[in-house]
Amino acid sequence: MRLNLLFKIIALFVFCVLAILAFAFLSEPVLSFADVAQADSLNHYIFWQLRLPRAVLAFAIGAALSVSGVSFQALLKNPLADPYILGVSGGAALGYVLGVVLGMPFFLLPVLAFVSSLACLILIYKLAQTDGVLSVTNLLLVGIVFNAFSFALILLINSVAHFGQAQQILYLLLGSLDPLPWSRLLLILVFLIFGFCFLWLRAKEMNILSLGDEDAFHLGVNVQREKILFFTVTSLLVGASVSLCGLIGFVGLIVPHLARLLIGADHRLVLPTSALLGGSLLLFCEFLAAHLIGFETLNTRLPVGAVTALIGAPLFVILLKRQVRS
Amino acid sequence: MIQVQSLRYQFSAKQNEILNDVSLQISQGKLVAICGLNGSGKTTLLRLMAGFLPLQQGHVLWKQKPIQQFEAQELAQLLAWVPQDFPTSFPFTVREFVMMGRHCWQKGLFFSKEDHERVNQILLDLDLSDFATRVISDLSGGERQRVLLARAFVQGSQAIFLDEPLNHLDIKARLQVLQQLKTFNQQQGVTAVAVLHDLSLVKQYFDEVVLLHQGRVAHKGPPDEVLTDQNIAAVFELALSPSSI
Repeated sequence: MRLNLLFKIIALFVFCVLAILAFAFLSEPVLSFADVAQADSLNHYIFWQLRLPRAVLAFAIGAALSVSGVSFQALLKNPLADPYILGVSGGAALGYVLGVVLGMPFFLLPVLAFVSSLACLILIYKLAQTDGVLSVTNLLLVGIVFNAFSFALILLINSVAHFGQAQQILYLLLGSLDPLPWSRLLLILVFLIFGFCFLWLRAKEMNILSLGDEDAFHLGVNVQREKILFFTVTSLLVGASVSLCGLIGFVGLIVPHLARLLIGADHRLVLPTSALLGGSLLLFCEFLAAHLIGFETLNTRLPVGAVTALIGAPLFVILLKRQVRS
Repeated sequence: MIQVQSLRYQFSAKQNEILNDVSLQISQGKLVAICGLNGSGKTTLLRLMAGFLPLQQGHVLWKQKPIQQFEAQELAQLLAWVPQDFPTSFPFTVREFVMMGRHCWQKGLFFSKEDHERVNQILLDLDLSDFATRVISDLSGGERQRVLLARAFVQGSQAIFLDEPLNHLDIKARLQVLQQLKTFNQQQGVTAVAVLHDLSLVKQYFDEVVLLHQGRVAHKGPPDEVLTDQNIAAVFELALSPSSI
């Protein structure tokens, strides 16, 4: 039984590595091994400095968003939670945009995104509670209101920003993946992997917290302390994702569901499975974004956030219907 | 084992006190039922004794030590909680869910061999082995309650608190749950405190009963002595004598 599950995760991992390579080779124009092997050629540069970093970034962000989704869903006891829908991504974007307009150095922007996402999460969590009870409807409604509010503030800030900043803000709102230099990419990967490992090592606590505060308390979990830890690390992941790639919605919502269908509810397995599935999903969406409307003909590409929303929004409605029925 | 001294509690300053000077003592190995009308403070009392609600006035002592001095993990080793119904919409299997009862004994990502053995034994004892890989949301009411009981049993704690464990169960499932609780109590010497509504079952299975009325202890003692027509009529505010209903 356990071996079977382990086999599934290993198979998924192999699939993900292949997906990253396929993305790097098969995006338009298609590259061959011979092209890439030839050092100092243009294709060699395209593969190593543009395609592969973009693929790795897409994968890492997809994984980080999915893992954040798993964490939010477990902690809020709500299978419809997701950083984007809850308004936490919007909060992170607000912090980031404020940093851009105030002319802060680039390394401070993720910090600002993290701080504002954590602050928003705490605020949303408090606002959605009535007499200590957190209802699904309240949470979603507060998320909608919060999103609208942070978008309005972002637009307000945008109106006073100069042209270059406004362009940056627009990309942030649309959600797009631009290749980074390897040095920065590796730094971020280390950061995201740390976040993932932290959550994974506490997956048993996550299982228990998903039963609710009272049950978790009686099973021996220090609920307040664990929640603070989980919320902080998850906000770090969201802040990092948003400051790198902007608002990419629905990945954190859909992927945990797919993972649970595949592997069950135990978060020790759901977390790695979601990371792998989420990474591949965002990679696939990025591939679609680049090829859907014909880069060659129109000389433009769709922001990946638009593709995830196109796929994710109808799936969200289906999940919501299922949730209401059950 | 558990001492409750002059407990008072109110949800907000504007509302009446839900508990008003409650004192009681629960000895090791006893089966104790807490009964009373809706709103008489039964579940609040249970939650205060279990340490989930913070104390406002009064004391709860477990083995002479104030409850607020226990860490969550220590407290879970002392007491297991059986909620009214399943608290989750995630598709955990019966085994995964019962396994969570062992968490208070070992941190880390994995469970020990002993944990697995204990879980297997309890699943066997409660006739749940065939359900081990079933998803909990697919179970019937009686099966769910058995799973909740199994989780409390594997926790290996010295007391089990049950908050209206018989709600939504038919009479067969009710008797089954109480019989299993009684057997476990006799075999392991575990104390059990349950909030219940069914007085005939209290008479049949419990050693002691506490009758709450408007936030006060109206009567306490062995069910045969406490559950008289007169007491029941007073506590449950009945115009007729219970035997004529």
